[in-house]
Amino acid sequence: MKLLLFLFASTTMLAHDYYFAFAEMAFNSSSNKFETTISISTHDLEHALENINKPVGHLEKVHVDSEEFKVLEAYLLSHFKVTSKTPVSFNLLGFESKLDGITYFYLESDAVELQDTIKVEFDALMEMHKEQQNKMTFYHNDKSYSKPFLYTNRIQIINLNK
Amino acid sequence: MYKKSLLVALLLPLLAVGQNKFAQLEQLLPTPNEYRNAAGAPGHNYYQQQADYKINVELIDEEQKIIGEETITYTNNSPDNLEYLWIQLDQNMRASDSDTHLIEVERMEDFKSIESIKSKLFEFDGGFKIEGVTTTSGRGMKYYINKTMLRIDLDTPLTEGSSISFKIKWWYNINDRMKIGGRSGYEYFAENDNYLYTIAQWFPRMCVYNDVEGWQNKQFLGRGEFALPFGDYEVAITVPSDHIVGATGELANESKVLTPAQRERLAKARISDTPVIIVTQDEAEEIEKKKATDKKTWVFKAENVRDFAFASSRKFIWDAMNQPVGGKDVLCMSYYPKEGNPLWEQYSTKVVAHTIKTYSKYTIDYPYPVAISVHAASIGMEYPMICFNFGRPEKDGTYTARTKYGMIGVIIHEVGHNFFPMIVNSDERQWTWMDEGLNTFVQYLTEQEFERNYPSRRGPAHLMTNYMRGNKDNISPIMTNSESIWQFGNNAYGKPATGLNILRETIMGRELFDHAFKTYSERWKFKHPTPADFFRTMEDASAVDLDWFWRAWFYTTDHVDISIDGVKWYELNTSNATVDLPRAKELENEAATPIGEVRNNELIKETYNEKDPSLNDFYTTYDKNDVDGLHAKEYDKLKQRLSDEDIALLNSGKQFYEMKFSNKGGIPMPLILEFTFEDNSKETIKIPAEIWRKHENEVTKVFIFDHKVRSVQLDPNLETADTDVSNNAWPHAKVPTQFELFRKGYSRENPMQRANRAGE
Repeated sequence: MKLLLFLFASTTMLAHDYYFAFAEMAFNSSSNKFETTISISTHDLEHALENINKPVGHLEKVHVDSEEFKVLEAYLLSHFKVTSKTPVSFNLLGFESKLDGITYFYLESDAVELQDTIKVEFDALMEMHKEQQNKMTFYHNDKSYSKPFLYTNRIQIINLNK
Repeated sequence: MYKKSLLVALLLPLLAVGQNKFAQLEQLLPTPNEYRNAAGAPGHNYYQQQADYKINVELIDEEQKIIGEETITYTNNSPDNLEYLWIQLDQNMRASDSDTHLIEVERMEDFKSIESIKSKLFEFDGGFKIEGVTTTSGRGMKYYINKTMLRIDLDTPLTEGSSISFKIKWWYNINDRMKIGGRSGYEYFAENDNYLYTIAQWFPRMCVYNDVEGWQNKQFLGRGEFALPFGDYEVAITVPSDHIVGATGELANESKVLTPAQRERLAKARISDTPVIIVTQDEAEEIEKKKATDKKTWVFKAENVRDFAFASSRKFIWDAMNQPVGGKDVLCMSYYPKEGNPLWEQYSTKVVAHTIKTYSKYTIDYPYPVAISVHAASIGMEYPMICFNFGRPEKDGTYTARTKYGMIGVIIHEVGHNFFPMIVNSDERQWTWMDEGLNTFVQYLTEQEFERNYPSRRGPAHLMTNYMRGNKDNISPIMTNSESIWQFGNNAYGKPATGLNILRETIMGRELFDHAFKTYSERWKFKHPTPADFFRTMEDASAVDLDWFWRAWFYTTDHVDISIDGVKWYELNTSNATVDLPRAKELENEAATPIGEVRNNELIKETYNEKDPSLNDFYTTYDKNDVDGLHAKEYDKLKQRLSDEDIALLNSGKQFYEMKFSNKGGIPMPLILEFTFEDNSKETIKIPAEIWRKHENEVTKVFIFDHKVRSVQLDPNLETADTDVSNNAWPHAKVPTQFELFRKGYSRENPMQRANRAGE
């Protein structure tokens, strides 16, 4: 079978040494919304966006009302997907870039009904780095459920009954 | 678990269970010998080889090419006869037939961008072109090139104590560092059609021969860096006459290459404690507009170094200042294009000076006459006396805090590499952590002395927890060869630096650690240490058995997760029933009432015996907690048998807390417990990690206080790299998620964004 290759223009990939992104998610039973924080290397994300020809420059300078913010949101939402019976829609509320090189993105979902089984796809930065290793922890009813995501294993199922 | 009861009896001792986390390291470490002793110091017959170089090199600016000829004098100080010599050809990693690209694992997903395909199809021959290997008299020598290694076969073996001199002639194409990457190369500035060269691994270099590896001739694949013997260098570098050159060593022909004004400024810099500009930005901008057609030769001399690098450009601004260290003057310098300003002029040279001063305090006195920082976009790379560092402001001269602190951090790090591995000369090809880890640790100390609360990216224990709790399939032990490491930065930089910080702050204490670390640096300066030498010295100089720590932190991928699993509260009774029984009654009354009893009290209006008192007898009204007439007499009798001290102890009201801990992550750690009492006073107790020595998964410990405990926090100052702090508190305290913290201080912009907006 011959597959079509879709190309993105990109700039040079620079040396780096961080290969982690983390998501921390909880279900707010008052609002029925998923609340998620994604922490990711600022440097890596900037280069990932350059690589798909959508550079936003320094994240610290990105204003929430800007086009660059929408680019960030689109990237994150395409690399962090949750299905709770049906696909869950998220909005990027804001972010904080820390001086230790990590940026925290805050996402909130539309109101949904929490299911016993949640499917999560979390492959941010894996298109750039094979060693990228992501992890998500879901907090619910005083329990936590952690799942790793690798280049070769980008989708995980969280079963709240286990 | 939370349980309250009265303690009357002593507790049984816990049973010992065999385990191996605290087993000694002997089986893992090489046997001590005459070259490296059991204390971790060089042995009485320690030796190392010497490689001296005389090099003439020309940088062809028009073609971005290096042409060189060297005379190497190699001295065999080993007890062995050497039949052949091995020489490193690191540029062959860029040869068209290099293994580096062939061994890269690929999938089609790696070719989603034009650049990724261009990069794959891009052909650049950057390998060494060896034009000859001859004796000093010009006779050809037999040699064979195996990829990045060149073997010279000697007519007769080089015997102990003897030397051989030979010549190598070569050239190679310099790589465009901004397009194809690399530790060295050039950056092209289209604005004025100019180049900035940072040149390293540019000449055939001797391999290390020693008692550990024999010849360290492991091929250079691009990741594991270098292993090099010490030697003296005299290098003549020919460049366009309008270039400024910075290099390893001292400039030996100042009068031939500098203008009188530059020499005068340099003389001022040598006695100045603040930077003096030797080539100003205005001058550099004027020079870069034109191109000289003639050439100049800059001569540098360096003694007892393991390598030589240089930088050359007509774009260079140059400043310098003096920094005394250990009674000697060190000329600290920076070379940068205008694109580096204003950051570089303000910070670079002062950061160099601060670095050598601070590292000297924790390790050894900086021994070299110069220390140099060169601006090089996007990279940080180290060589003796000179390093290449990133940190470029925006074109409008503004810069983010991340750019500023990133630049300062990388300069500290790369200048710091002078100490590890340039002076404490470990084998980078084998063990990346021995230089990167130790250097990152001292970098952290140096950053914290640069500015209070400097935003260090590595060092503090809590910054390493995300990595350590990651999926173990993609994590390697620190003790992994440089080429095979997963998560290179975290593994070889962050985790060892964090481990040393934990040793210093938590396990050994600053005094013992600093002494041992300095001892290691002193013992192995200008020598070739191995991991075992480091492990042994740290124990030898401190009298702290750290085998368990090396084993857990360096040889496994375990993480730290210690949990408070339960607390049982006991109160010591007085053995005086007139005191204890009312107290027991009080506790019973305070205890929760079962729901059936609550409802029965409400719904059963009258019981049978309440209606018919004839059903009552002694037991109907008996309360085991009532005091009777005999209790006081019994206590008087007891007192006659007890000493005053015993009676005081019984009346002391001591509170006992039996705490149960489990080690969920695998790495043992001290138990650091902060107790908060009912009167809000606090007490911190630190139990050494050896509490886990016989019970590696679960331990209990009893704590005795005069006051009742309200809460307990394990690792209150986040010093053990505990990866899950949600099980570190009693009673259980919910840790707010990052999202909840964000909500509390909700803002749609971060402080820097706001400041930028306010300034618009």
